[in-house]
Amino acid sequence: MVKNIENVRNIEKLKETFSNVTKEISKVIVGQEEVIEQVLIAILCDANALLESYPGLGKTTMVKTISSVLDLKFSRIQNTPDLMPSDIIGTYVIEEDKGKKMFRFQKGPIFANIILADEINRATPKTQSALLEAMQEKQVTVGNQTFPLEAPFFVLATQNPIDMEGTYPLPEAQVDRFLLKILVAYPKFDDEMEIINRFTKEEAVREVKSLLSKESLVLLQQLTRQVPIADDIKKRALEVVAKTRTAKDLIEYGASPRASIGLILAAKAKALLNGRKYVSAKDIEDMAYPVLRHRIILNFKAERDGKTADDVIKELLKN
Amino acid sequence: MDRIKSLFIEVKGEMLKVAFINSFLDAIMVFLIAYFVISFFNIRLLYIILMPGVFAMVFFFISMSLNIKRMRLKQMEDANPQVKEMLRTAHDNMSQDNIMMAALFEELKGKMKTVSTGNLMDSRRIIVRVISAVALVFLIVFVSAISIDLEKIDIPFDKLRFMIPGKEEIFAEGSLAELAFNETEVIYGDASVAKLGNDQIDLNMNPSLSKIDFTQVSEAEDEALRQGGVVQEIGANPDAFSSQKLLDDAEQAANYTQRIKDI
Repeated sequence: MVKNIENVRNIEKLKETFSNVTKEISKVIVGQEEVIEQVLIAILCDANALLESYPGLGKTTMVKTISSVLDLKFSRIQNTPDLMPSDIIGTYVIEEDKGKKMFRFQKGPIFANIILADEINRATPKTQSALLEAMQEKQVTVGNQTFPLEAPFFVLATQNPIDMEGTYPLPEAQVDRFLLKILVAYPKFDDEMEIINRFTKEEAVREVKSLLSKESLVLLQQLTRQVPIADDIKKRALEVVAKTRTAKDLIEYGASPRASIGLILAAKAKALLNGRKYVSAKDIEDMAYPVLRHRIILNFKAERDGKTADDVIKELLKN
Repeated sequence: MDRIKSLFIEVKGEMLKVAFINSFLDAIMVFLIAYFVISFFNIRLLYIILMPGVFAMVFFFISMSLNIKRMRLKQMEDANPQVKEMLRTAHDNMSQDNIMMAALFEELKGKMKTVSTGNLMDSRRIIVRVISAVALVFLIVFVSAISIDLEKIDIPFDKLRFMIPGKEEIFAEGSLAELAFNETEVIYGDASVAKLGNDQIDLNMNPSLSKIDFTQVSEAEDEALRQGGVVQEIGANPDAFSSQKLLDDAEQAANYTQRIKDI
């Protein structure tokens, strides 16, 4: 009972903890609060996110900073068409020990806690699938040996919406594995002014403190799933997902049940991140955009009308 | 979780209190309105109090049962938007027993301290009820002071008269103007009751009650003259039985009848 009370008190402090994490990240990253929040949501859900932005918007810096604040091992994979799966997951190398030759597994960059897979659509489908398998299974298999990946494991893949020549767009089935598709917009004028002030000075960008340990992050991931949700809010989430399948005047292919799971989980994580112990209807509405935008395929009519996935989701939420 | 269940029982208790207060106020209003209306009629005091009391009691029980039927968690949520989603979530996840639910319960418990019967009450509605009740009480006192009796008031609209209790039978058919004066049935009641038929009736009169002792009258006149006073007519006036008197009376009666007809 005493332990339970102590745990409850710790939960009360969660909002403050997350607020401190955000503050610490903002020491390096200017603005982009929504993006940071969505990345943290994906981490809390123990899921992966697809980041879509133009080059030079600070994705790598952001992910690096987040990994430092969360005390996580970070690695970056720059995807290119000649990148092989073994370059990511690792390979067996021959090693000689006391005159005896033996194979030793050389771990690839996938063996980290946070992976930034830059421009994932530039890798070949073979390499993409190797990465996506690791994302899904949280383990890699080389030959006949399976290597589990250390928890927490989180992949943040990026893709460039322009310059699509020579790319291998992710198939729908693989895109579906990303919990969120996060859009990074250009910074606001004032934010950009702050960015140039920070990064053009002589002194280096301030170092950030790590505020959470791996263990506490795993515990937070467990807590996220425990956040209670009311039945009518759950129904609302399912209705929104179901509408993507029935709104044939706008959508050609709707979202899968994985989207329903993702929407509820993301809403739970958002609630926890905001220090709430319950999911609100607004959480569902807010998370519907990043959860559904990459899971629906607009029909010709909607595209001809110049509608984006977000416009369609907005319409679905209105009805 | 038992603690959450007990919290919801507490919430229901609060809602029950609110239902009671609302029904009670409404019943008071019904009582006062009924009392006000009934006080216009000349009815025994016991009924004036008893009838509105019965109305109010019946209304109270009906209103209370309807309020209890309508009593839903939504009412509580609408009255306390700050706990709306929290309350609903706790209700739907009562069976779960984990840290998050315990934390939710703790927070809910804290917030529920601020949620009392007062939050559930519609203050505007209560104010309207109280003001109306006070106004009605003043009206009742005023009406009692000037002793208005609807039955004594000459209502110009004849059709309204049937509304007066006890007058329905008389004024049920047609207006007063339509009734001919000679419709004796209306004025004197059922004609058959008054019909005597051909049966012989024996009337016995006691002569001692009608016999006039003229001797005594004369003596009285004499006595008065002896005393020098004015002669007073003690006995019956012989003129009263004269034909002239009868004619005058008949003429007066005819005039009276004519006047009533003219009205």
